[in-house]
Amino acid sequence: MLHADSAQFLRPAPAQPKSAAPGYVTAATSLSFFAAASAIPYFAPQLAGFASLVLLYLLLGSGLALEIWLAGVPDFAFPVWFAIGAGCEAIVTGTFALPFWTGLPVAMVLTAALAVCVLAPLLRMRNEHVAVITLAFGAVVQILWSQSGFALPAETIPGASGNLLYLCVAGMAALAGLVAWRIRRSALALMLRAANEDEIASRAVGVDARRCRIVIVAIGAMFAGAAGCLFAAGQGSLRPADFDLSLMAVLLVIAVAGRRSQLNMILAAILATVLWQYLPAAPALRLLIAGAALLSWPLLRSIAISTPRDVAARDAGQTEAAIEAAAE
Amino acid sequence: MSETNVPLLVVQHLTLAFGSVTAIDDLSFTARDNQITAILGPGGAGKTSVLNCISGLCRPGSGGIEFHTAGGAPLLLERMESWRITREARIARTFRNPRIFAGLTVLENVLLAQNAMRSRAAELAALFTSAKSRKAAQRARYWLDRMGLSQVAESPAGVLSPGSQRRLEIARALAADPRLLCLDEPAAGLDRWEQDALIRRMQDSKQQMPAVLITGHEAGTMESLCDHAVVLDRGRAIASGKARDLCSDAAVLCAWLGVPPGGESVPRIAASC
Repeated sequence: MLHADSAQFLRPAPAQPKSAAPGYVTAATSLSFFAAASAIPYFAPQLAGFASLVLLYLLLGSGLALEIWLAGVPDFAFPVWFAIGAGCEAIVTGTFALPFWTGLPVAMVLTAALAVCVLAPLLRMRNEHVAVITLAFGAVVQILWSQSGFALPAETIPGASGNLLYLCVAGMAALAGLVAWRIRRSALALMLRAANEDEIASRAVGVDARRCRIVIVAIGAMFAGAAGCLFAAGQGSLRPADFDLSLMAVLLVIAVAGRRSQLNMILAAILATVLWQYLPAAPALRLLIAGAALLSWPLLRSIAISTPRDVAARDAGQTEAAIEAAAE
Repeated sequence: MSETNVPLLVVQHLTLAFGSVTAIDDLSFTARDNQITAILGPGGAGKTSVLNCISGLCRPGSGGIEFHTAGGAPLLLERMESWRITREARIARTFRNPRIFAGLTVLENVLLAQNAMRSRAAELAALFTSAKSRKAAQRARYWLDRMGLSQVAESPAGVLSPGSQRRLEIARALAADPRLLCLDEPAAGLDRWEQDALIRRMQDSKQQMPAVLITGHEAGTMESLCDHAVVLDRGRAIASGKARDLCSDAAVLCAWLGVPPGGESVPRIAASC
């Protein structure tokens, strides 16, 4: 028994699960996800609003998951990037009277640039400091905004409605999933995994962890900007309450759930949307539930709804090896 | 072979202090191309600190480290960041306690070193390249094969034995196609058999070997391969020259044993010469 325990203790940090699926399988999965999502308004129009919220959460969640899990950057200012995307949409369609989709590239580029400007100097510091500073930054921006009293009431952003907007949301969510999957298999992901494990050794093999992290931060913020733009176009309004830190709590739940599996991320996004839709009157309760989910996830991980097959197989194999070692 | 005597790395008046402890004291030496240069010395002599300064992990207090490239001005390593030294000067190093990436597979450890060596905008380029393209994997497997690790290429590097981790670290360094390879006590922690195996592997790959800078605390088999040796004691160079000549140097023996030579105990350094 003692041997089995010590073998568990000595187990090295788990390797990133290697998905055996070749590229075309993932592309097909992503396409069919897009097709299924875009079919919802035709078959169940009453679900379209709900589904577009789920898709927006997914878009935000994939961006945050990239930053936290791949780059190892605890970016708690994520609602700010979301808000900047929304602001871009308001300016592009409201002030310049351009069609709503032109806001998308503008929002993505501007959000990425701003996130890089804010986070690049922070990335010289340790992760704890990055977490505290981004958290404070997000809170300060939100407080300043709500105290300034600036808000655009409903119907002031021309935006768009109906199926075109919904298709855009579904397309962006599917694209985000595909891009995130591709990045996780890129040479950059390998560098980041090495840098997060042993930064000194990674420098000795020629990895500049800070630059690698900046690239991922830019991509994550791009997802957030796109989500903000589409959100503002659908909502037609811009209120500080939509971008407060409780949004961060939900996104964290989604990102934590989706660490290893896209399916878990989708389930978490659906659950979060259900909570947000059916408990609109009790924000404290929602926060409590989000906090409880964040705390209980590590404990529940062993009975997670879906675990990638190779992870499960490897865990099982190592346990067997440990038992065999104990028997000998 | 005409380039044998071209100086590759020129260290001049290098000084490094941690508070009141002087790790390196006015050290100057030259490592030449296509040669194996050894930095020898008892524990605490400052050998690893010299490698840390060369690879950019430590910033020296004073002095200069010049690295001569094939064309153009020499690079001033003491002013460069460590990842830039690896990429631009092509200096690869290993650590005294192997620092492999335990969470990556053996193959990924080597692939990483290859990928990181792209020169400009490497991070953006890496974003668009697959981690395991067939061509890269083929080259990586060549080095794993050389170091006898191809059987375990797909297992997590953390489960390897210390000897295999050391060979993986050397494979990782060589895969980056370096101009100078710094080995920090490659024999440390290995038993006699593992040391012999490592030396055999390295001799087999001698054709592909770049210039090598090696540290060691005893003039063992590994260090006796060297063409030139510098002996350090408490951060100061006390002797330099052919390893064979150094074995009978009084100052060297004194530094190792703390007593003048000729005592009862047979010093290892003399035995292996």
